[in-house]
Amino acid sequence: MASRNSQKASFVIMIAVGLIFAFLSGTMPQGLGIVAFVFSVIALAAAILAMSMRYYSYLFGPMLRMKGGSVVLDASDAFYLSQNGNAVIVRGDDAVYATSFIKVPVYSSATEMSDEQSYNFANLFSRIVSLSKTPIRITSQLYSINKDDYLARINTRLAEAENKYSILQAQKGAKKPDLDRIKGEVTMWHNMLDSVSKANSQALEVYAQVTVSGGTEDEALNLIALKTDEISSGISAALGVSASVVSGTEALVLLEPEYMIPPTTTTELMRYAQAEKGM
Amino acid sequence: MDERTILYLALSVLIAVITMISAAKFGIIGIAIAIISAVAIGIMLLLAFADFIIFPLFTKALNITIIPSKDYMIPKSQDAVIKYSNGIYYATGYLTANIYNYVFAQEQVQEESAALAQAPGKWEKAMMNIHFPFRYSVIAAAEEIQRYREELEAKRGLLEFQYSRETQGSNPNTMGLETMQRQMNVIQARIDRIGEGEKPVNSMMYIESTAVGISEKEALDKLTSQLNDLSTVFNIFDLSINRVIGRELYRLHNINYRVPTLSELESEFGVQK
Repeated sequence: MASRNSQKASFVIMIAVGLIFAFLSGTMPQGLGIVAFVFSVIALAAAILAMSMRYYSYLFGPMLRMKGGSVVLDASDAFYLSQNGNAVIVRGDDAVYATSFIKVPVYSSATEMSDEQSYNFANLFSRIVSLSKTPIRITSQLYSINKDDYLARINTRLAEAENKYSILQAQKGAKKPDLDRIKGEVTMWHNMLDSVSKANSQALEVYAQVTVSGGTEDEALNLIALKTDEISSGISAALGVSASVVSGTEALVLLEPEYMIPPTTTTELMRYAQAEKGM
Repeated sequence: MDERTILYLALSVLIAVITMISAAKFGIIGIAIAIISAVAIGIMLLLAFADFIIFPLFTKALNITIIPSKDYMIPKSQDAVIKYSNGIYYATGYLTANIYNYVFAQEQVQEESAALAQAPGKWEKAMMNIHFPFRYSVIAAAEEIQRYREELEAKRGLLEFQYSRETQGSNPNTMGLETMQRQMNVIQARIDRIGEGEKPVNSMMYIESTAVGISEKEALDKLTSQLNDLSTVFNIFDLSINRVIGRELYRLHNINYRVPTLSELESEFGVQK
């Protein structure tokens, strides 16, 4: 609301400036054409700025403070997780916003449905969108499964096996069967790393997102808890599933790109894509 | 275009018109003022109707990037939100996915039922053809039924009046009459559906995808390719798909952290009913 008010105030000021200079330009005597021209340009610039206030008022203040071609709208983190991990908090100019995510587990597949079942299922889903008079976002997200920890474990085992092999190789009395066994282990970890890294494993998640505002963080958190209960009960009743609140790092998968596409998993995939291109 | 934009445009254009009229007495300088005023009116109209063209031109010309929050950046092309993390660039882009055209072209309940029955199967087929991360989002809020019904009845009344005036004229426009008849049928179908217990909904739909790259350019190129693939795949749903460029990008990015209120949605995006 504060931003809406500042938008209106900026618009009114610009229109006032524009009108004043437009009238001044009109009242200039014929001999002062140059002055009229300058006044007209100022009036027109004010008119264009007034029009751009409709959609871009949020940019004007930061643009005046711009450094090196970067307009900084907000230098802080976009959000932070609440202490209980059940909500995401965003601080606005005049309110605190709490957002929660509700997981909608859907296990049905259209391939097992008759036309009528399929129609009923789609109808049930369309009913979810009319659950609340406050806007809710229903999202279906396809994301990369995080294999970072798994890959790290395989890499550790591979390094251990390679280390064992080089130590054994350096020993004078090392037996060939022992060497072959360790070499086999190294090959096994290499193959496992290859197969796990190459596969682009993905998961599909459906979730509902709802936001409420409050004067303080506590108020917003209390309100979001109530709203989340209302929405998750509605979803559970409509679809016959058990909708649950997404919390902690699980919520980050729905928010941050590096959780949606985990770095190590991605780097490995990119490495293989690059290698394949090279071949 | 909403009422607020019309008000902003009318008052801004008024200033340009005043300068244009008052320029008449200044001879050559007056002509220059009139030309500049005409250009200014053109810019204002572009800002009102197609700001997605003018805003990226402005940011490209001045080489401006926007930092919406820590670690994020909107490049001067205004077509993606980029995050640099762990040595990787993540570029996120958006597509509109409006069913607006569909609703108006075929407001036939029977056809809609058939489309609804096919939807889950089509959705699964689409998912099988996508091999990169993306989100399909619907933001929806139920409408106050009584208010919505009254709005529809008012619209129907206006159309009926226009229709009867057109038919009573000496040379009625057949094409115009057909269009009005179709619009009246659409409104009647909606009123009937509310009578059958269906809830009217304000909604907005969009698709979001993220691509990774070891350089900003690579991530942006991959993103463009992913968004093109998504446009192709989602074509089966008869959606109106366009890449989001300009100010809406920043607004859509923020939705991930905070769902806007209905008035914000109407003001910034123009929701569908």
